[in-house]
Amino acid sequence: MMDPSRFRDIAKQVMALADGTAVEVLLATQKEGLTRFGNNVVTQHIETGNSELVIRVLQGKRQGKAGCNQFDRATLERTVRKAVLLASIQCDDSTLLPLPMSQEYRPLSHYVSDTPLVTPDEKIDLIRFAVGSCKKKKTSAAGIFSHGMQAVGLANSNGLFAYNAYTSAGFSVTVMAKDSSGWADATDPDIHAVHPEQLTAVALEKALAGRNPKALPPGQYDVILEPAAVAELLLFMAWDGFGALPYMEGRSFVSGKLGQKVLNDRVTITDDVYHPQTLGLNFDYEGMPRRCVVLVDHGVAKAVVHDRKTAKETGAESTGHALPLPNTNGPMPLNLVLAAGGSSVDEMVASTSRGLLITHFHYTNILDPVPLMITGMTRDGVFLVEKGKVKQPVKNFRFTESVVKAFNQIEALGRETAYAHAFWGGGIVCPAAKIRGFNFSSATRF
Amino acid sequence: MRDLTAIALNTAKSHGAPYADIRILQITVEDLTVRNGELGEMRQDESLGFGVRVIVDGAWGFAASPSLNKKDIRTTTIQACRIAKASAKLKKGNVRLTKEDVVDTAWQTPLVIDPFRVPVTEKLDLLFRIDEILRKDRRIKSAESTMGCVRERQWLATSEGTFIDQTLTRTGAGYAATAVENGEVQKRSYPMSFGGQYMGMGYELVKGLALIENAERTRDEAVALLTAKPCPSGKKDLILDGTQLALQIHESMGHPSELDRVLGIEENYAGRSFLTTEKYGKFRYGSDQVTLMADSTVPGGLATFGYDDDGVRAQRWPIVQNGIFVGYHTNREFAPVIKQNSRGCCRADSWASLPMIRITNVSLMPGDRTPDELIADTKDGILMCTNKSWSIDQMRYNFQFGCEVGWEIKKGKLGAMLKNCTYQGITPEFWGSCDAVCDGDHWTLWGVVNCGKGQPGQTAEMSHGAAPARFRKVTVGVGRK
Repeated sequence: MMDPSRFRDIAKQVMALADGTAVEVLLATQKEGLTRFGNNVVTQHIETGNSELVIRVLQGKRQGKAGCNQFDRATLERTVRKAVLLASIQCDDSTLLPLPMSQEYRPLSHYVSDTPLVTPDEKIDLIRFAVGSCKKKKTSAAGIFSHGMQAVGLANSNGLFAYNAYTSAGFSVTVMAKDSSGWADATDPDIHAVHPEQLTAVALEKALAGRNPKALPPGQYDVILEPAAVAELLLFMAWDGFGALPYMEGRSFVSGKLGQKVLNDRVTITDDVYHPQTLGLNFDYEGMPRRCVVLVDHGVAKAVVHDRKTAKETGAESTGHALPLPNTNGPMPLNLVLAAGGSSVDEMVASTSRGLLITHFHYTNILDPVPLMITGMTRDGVFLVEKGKVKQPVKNFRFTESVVKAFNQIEALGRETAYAHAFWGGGIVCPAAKIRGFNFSSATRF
Repeated sequence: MRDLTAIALNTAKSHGAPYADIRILQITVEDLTVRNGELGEMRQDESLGFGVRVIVDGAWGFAASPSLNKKDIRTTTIQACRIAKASAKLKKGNVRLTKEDVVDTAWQTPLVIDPFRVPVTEKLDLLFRIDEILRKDRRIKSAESTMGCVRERQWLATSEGTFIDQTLTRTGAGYAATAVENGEVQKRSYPMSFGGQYMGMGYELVKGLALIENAERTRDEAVALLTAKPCPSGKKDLILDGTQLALQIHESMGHPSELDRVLGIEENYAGRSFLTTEKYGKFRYGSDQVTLMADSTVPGGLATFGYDDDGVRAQRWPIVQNGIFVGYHTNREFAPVIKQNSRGCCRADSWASLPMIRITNVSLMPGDRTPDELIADTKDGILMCTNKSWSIDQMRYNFQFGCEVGWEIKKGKLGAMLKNCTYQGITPEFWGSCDAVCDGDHWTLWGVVNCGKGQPGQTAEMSHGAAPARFRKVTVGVGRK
């Protein structure tokens, strides 16, 4: 992994090679170890690392970009030359902005020095201990134990220099019984905050509780979604709702509705990389400081996130949410936080006359961006709740539902939040939620 | 390169590895996108590195590095051996690989026009011309035209003596127009969605795609969808075009036939498969009309190669023969479970990734009908074209797809355009309802460039050939209440 001083040296070399041309140097560097297990044994075990440099040059209103992962002088020269050549053959782009000047950044550190240091033997010992409980119960565990560090650096010829590193450790486990499964997952900058044996116990308990599931008909059910299932819905809000580009083009559920009530009173959503439970960078991919942005305040749409270009076009300010430039997505929130409520999962269950308790969703995808109509499957634990009690495991369903409708029918939010991943990734801080009248469109065979 | 690969193999041997391989990989990528009259993406990237895979004490270890020098090759190989030794503490039995031919050879994708030698100005000119046509209607709020090419040169050496110098090239292009009005958002793409058509060939593909010729129609269909009738809900006879069938094949037959999924290796993320080994050779997967062939030798396929990352030669074999499930995607590690040699499906997406079983080019074999005949023979149906969304459960039973556009079929004639088209089914029931497949004149190999699998996630490319086909009494218009 490349440290800031080495990055500074390379960036200086690139700027010298660019010979007075405006230039931006973007570094993505990482080191990762990941151990996969399945059927209670190790199936894959890797350690890898890489550093990639992307050089973007600006010649007036033209830009060119090229990348490499070798940093000898010849490669750097070739890469700069490619970027300059690509810029030189462009037509002028009147909307292209000059590179920003040096910026001040709010301190942010999600870096725990122990996290990258775990040895292969230590990882195997932790996994072995965790899956041992599954063997005893004649169940089968599959999952991953990952750890590593990542950093992004950005420097430009206007004197801007930014570098931020974070660590991440993750354990995710699925426990299979004969006709059921359970799942648990955790990610944290600190390897010591991730507890494989506890997570495996949760997944095992779910798998055992889920045995002999019965089939229920599809239809509308009140649901209690655990945080990972809530994260699945929020991810599509991030992708298709809260960026300035879909907003400006009328493709977002908040297009033309800032200041209006769009979701339930209980819903407050921010994008906040400074939240202690999330992971990320304190600057964006053009080097602007990443701000905390309130997107929805008690159901009222307040803002979308901007990069410098969309900010200029709408008379706003950059919120520090640019993706690597140029891109077709526009700015995007990467650290959504759904504010906690005042309930617990047990209380949500107790208040439900008939509904479903859902662990998480699988392979969710979008059907229609404005209502945020999405579809996906339940997975690894669905339980029927009746008269305030968890009664019976049930077979999986497909849901087809509008996220906007669902977030207007939230009846309770958990008082604790978790950092959860959706199927397609992302990392979202959110609590569990109870939602009225969630639509399940079909059932499956297990 | 042989000197460098020998360092890894010798180091592995001296650290107790009876098997080792090293892949040195150089990847060159060019991506160009024009969006709404501006550059949306433009990059030329290079990546170079190596990955070493070893078996020590009966378990796998893998380590990778971008530092292609003697010292780092030794260090990385020793680390792979250390990882394998640790892994051996939690194993059931020793990893045993199938015995395969040892080869010393080279292979490369056949090309007519090297896409990296076509001037970027020519490519951008084409994309800007398309963009201009797409944006001629004010309701088109997003016009995106894309072109890309990738070259992967890989040197694979194994401790068994295999050495393969292989160069794969992929090229493609396409575009999408998104119309927006009054909260309605509709998209049309050409030749297919999610970036267009990609194949294992050169720039001759782009020249043959008729991109300019189809831009106006694509734009007008996107606009027309804004006021089109919504897809009705209920059971209809469904005709799918080849682009949609490609993804249907991918999700409901490609992934379920990956033997590592079947064995539970992918359980924690992508899931498993209903095609468990007791069904092998006897399970009725579809109707008699349904024959699906895997083929990593077919010209132009994105998963067409000389050898896979296990060093196994490319092959062609049936997955479904007249409706009966008869084949898996396998590699050297898992093929012994079904008492076969490897089918050569082991691939990694970079030097830093561990090779695993990936879908090859799986295609629905053509039948004997024409699209006109199918429509004329359908009383109450829908023709759906071009994938818009996809979702399938973790066992690959329950799927739901959305298509960009549909047309009613009433009494043998195409009728009104339909928007927000969706259909849903259970895999063997759906393929069991297939009663007609169009002929070879209407069959095309369609590329999938975004196939995700594994932890950490890897992206692979493959193609699926299909001609339009009909499925009886399918649930359509899902969740539109």
